[in-house]
Amino acid sequence: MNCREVQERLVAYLDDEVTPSERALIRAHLAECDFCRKELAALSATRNRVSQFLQMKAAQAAPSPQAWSRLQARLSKKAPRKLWPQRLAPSVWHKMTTKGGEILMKHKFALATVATLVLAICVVAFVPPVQAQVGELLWQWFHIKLPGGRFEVAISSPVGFTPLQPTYLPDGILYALSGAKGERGVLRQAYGGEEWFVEIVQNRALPDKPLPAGREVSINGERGVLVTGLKGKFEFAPPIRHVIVETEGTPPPEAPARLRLPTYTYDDGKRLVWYAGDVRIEMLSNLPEEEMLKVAESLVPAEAGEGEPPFQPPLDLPSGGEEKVIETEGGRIIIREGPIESNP
Amino acid sequence: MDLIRRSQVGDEQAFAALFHQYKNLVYKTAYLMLGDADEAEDVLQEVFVQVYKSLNAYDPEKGAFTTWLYRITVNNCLNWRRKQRLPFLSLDEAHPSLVSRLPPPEGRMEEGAVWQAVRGLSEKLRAVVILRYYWELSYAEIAQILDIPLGTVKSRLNLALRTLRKELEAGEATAKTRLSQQEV
Repeated sequence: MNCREVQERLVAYLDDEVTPSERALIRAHLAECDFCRKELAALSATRNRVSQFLQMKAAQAAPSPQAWSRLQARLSKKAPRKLWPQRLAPSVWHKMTTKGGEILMKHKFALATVATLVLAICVVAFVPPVQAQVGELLWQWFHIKLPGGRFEVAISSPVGFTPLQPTYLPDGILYALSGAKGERGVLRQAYGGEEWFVEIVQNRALPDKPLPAGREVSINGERGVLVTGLKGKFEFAPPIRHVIVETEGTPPPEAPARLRLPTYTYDDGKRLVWYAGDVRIEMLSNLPEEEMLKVAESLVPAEAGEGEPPFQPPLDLPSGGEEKVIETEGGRIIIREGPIESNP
Repeated sequence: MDLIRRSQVGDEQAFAALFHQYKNLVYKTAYLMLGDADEAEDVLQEVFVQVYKSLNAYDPEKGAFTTWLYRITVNNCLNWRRKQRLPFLSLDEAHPSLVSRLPPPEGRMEEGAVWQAVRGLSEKLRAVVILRYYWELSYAEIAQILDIPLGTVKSRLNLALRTLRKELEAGEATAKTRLSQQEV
């Protein structure tokens, strides 16, 4: 190496960022070149001086104690971030079986809570089995696309109507639940956040039942009735036999017993009832009236899936006091026979 | 990593913990880049607002979280002056006549000289100097943060250190001249 080539590499040499062969060549040159040796010494002194100075300067610098509260105030003014980033989402199919029938649910996202629970999806199915009659199950399946996430529901019989799904939900959703029950087809969905919940029940079994007494409202031009001032407790956990709980990471061993599905105590609950064709829709919620109407008006038919639903082989569900634990990419799934304890 | 993953799915407590874990990284980088505590505080806010909004875009497979955070911080600092649309002039630079002719105490003189030399570097050179000589990052990490080739990191550091050396030597010569004039 000549002087110019060495000079170009001297700083990298000082920083130990040259290749072993370059190092050998530079050393050989320095052994013979007085000028380059002096340059090296001068640059080394500058480097040490600057480095020490920066350490000293930065040691005195610290953000103010109000930095976090200031940030919080700013963030609260920003539009909320979407939950459930798709690429983080585990993609797991679960098959739930009960005496009455089967339902499949695929969830492709993690519903986050501020605590350790990430996802609690509960499914109940009393859809009449058609397997015995036709030899194989018939499936209808649908995409449920929520703001920021989606899942698919497949129902093991021709329920005969398309599930409606909300395209608007208040910010901060933490829980989602979907299930079917009733011999003639009842589809129940529930969504919840830290403070709020909304339950949507679609029912074909009550085509002639009159609307309850209450204040008349219009939902996308349909006549509906709003009943306000309800008091009660809404438990997110349905009366189910099995529950799937997915947690972020590995939960402590006692997690299933300590499963906390939310219970909402409300003293200004509202029920909104209307018909969409022959399907009776009942919404129960503790949301403010305008928010509840906004959710109601956002209901659209879920997009039907085409062809066979892409599920995995059914899970062997445990019975009695057994538990089944399945490790997945997104965390651990614990399945055990219910009823589950909510908010023990 | 867990904090990041939890923050990505909307866990506010995790995001708070993330802020407190990395606030010094952002603040100190900004402080050394901009040389002003208030501006560093503002950059800290901007960076974490950006992190909050785009955390879902962070892909751990593409690099360490700190690399991503350094990049956002440095970019904010580089754009800071332009965003503020204010010409940057320190009192010393703007009004040499106001600078005391008496040499400052020895420690202050050292501080002032190196600080002035570092501040005199272009922003791009200052960024590599801070990442290398304060944070002690490798050239490869710096290249990733600044999204520049490794060779560019080498040439920038080479130029930066030589510029600093020249400035410091010039400053010392001036100080010696002043001292000898006073002695006379």
